[in-house]
Amino acid sequence: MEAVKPPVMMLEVLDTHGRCQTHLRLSGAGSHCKVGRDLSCDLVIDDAYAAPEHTQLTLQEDGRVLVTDLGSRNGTRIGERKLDNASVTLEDGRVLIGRTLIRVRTLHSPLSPEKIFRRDMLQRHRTLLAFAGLTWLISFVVFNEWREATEEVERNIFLGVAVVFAILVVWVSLWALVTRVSHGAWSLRVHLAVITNAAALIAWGVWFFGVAVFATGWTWLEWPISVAALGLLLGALYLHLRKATHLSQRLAAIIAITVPLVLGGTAAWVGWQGEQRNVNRQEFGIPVYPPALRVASSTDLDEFVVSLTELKRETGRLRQQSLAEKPMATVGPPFKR
Amino acid sequence: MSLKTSSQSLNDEGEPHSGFVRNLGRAIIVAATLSSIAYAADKPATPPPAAPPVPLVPPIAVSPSVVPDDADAAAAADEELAAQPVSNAARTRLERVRDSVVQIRGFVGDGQSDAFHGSGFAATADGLIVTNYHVVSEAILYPQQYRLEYLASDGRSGQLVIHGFDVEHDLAVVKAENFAPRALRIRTQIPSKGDRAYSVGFPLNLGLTITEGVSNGLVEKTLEQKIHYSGAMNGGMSGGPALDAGGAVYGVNVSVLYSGQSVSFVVPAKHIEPLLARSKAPLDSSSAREQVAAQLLQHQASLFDSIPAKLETQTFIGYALPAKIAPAFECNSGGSMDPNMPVRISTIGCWANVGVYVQKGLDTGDIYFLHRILQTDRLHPLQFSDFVNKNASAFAWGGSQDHVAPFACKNDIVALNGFDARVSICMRQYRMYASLYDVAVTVVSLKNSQDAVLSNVRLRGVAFDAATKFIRRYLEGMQWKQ
Repeated sequence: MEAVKPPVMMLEVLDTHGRCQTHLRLSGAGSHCKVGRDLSCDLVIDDAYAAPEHTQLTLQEDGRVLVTDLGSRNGTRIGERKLDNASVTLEDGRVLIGRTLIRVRTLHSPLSPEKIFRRDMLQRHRTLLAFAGLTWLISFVVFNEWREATEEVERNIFLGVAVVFAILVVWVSLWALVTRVSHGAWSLRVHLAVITNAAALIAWGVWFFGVAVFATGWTWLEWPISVAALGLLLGALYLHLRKATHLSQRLAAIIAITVPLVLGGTAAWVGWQGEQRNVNRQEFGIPVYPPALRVASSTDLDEFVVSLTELKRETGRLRQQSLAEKPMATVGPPFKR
Repeated sequence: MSLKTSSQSLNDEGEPHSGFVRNLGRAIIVAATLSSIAYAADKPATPPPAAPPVPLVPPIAVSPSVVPDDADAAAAADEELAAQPVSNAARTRLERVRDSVVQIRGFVGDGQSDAFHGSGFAATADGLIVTNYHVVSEAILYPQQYRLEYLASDGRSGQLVIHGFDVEHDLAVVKAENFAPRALRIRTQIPSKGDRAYSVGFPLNLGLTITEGVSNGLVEKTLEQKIHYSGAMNGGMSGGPALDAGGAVYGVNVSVLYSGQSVSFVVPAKHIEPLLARSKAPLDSSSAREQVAAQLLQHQASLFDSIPAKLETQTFIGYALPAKIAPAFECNSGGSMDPNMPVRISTIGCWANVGVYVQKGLDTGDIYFLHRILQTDRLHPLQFSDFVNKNASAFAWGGSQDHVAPFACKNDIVALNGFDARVSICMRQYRMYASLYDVAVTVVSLKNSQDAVLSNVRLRGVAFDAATKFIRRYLEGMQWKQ
């Protein structure tokens, strides 16, 4: 026969972030705890809004806790309910005394199942990942500056690296600050690892796929590249949020997806609208790379010229659109005085 | 060519800085007309009286005998005039045409201040007045918004009605009711180089003015003919008569080359008669825009007809490239061959002096193409390809959303004659003239890792079929020969 557990209550004083500052464990029916500012109380709180003897918590026979307001001016709050010189019984919950929140747990409080511990690769290998990310991001910057500069290569590389460093410092500092506020730790290497690896992956990936598109002629590859780059960007933001805040997985994912999509989408839409009205904008097709890299066959000239009829339709459509947005002055009989 | 300035070089956009084509395009006195608009806008409602100009020679009384009534006497007087000292002849000439030349003014709706102005002259006994198309183009295209009036030297004024126009040669015919000043005599023969000549008109709203100069014959290497007049011409004189030493109209004032010294142009009088013949009745304003488009198409058809089926080419670093493809085309070359530069660039630009003014802010009908040959022995192929990408897009296009719709583009890697190239074709339709297109072609050769040819073509105001036909011939004309 299983032994009956004696009633127990656990009182945890929480800070503004919901973390336990101090706790008090009492067992046995009839044991009680007086809470207030007076040093004679069992649980002394430094709260200007609390009475010297504010509330008494008494463990009952059935394992529940009787909460009694001791006549405080501000009363004792349990959820939405306010006790003024009154009592109430609870199994589990939070009691607000002045501005101090006390979590009350008893044997009746439900226990969540044991979580399976997953190794956090990012946290565990943050130094290595930050170093690797920084290395291949900077290597891309150096490569890109070298590729774009025909003269003063060293100067351009130095400037490019300096700019990227400055951006990294700002970005990582912001996330680290948020992390410090919510978790009490900076987690600089974690955030550095997230942003550098994502940025490097996007930069190198887009470049390599650009070469691949030129080599193969598969222009449709541009879509998956864009989607993958966007996915990486959102993923990085999700990891930043998870590491810097206490947001749940779901909420972090929603924010990581919606905020950039709404902001970026709006900016892209505005830019696109402006571009649509730019009558001098031309598209020149895929960027060219050294001809030796190309393996695909080219379009026959006749075939290409025939395909220009599509352009005629498209120009007609754009003209109609232009006229719809900004109608021309109508023609009528000449003006007469 | 005598008119070409010697300092043609490339700017950032790869177009000639001071090429004749650009200057001529600018020159069209449209600009002068526009300047007169600006002038009209700047001046106060009641302009202050201008200080009387200081005469360079003492005033000379004009003898009534120099304004004869019969033809024989007129011929005799013409000879006498031709023999007179310069200043006297100009004064007398002005007196003889004073009643026949009018100022043409355009007003917005019922407004009292003119929006634009130019000159015109009576060309027939029944009162048809010849002017420039560009003087009255806004009234032709937007008849409900503008009204035209004449102002004669004797102060008479009245409303004008458009009878006809010739966009290609920049001519128009207008008429007023109950107004038929004496018609000027027209000669279709072009004066010889060095012949004395005069231009009459209303420059900058300063009143009837005559300038004296020398006719220098037809401008060479152009498709539509213009006469080079070495004499002053200013905005507002557009549409005024250009007179020979005998007082006959040999052309119509049309434009001035602002970067030159008294380099002006005159439309030959031979284009007046055909226009007068088809301008007996007032113009149906509802068909004006279609007529403009039709005339522009006819203009560009005559240009394309002058281009042979097989384009003439020049060879550069192994590439044969279209160059002076027709007599109306002119080419120049330039570039930077400094061995210290990482990329050496040589350029060949060709153009046809065939631009046509259509309306405010819209010149069209010209062809321009530019080859840029890029060579390097210092850059890595990856660096060089990046350099090529940046330069391939650096070819400026002007255009206002008032006149044209946005470009639609088609790009592909195309197998040309002996080499592959990335070819981009962009086209846009004119808003007012659906049959006309602007076409941009950009070719980037993909043959060698350390040299490349960038070729840009700009066709303005062409028909779709003519454009695609020309593009095909142009691309076929490009060839790798080495």
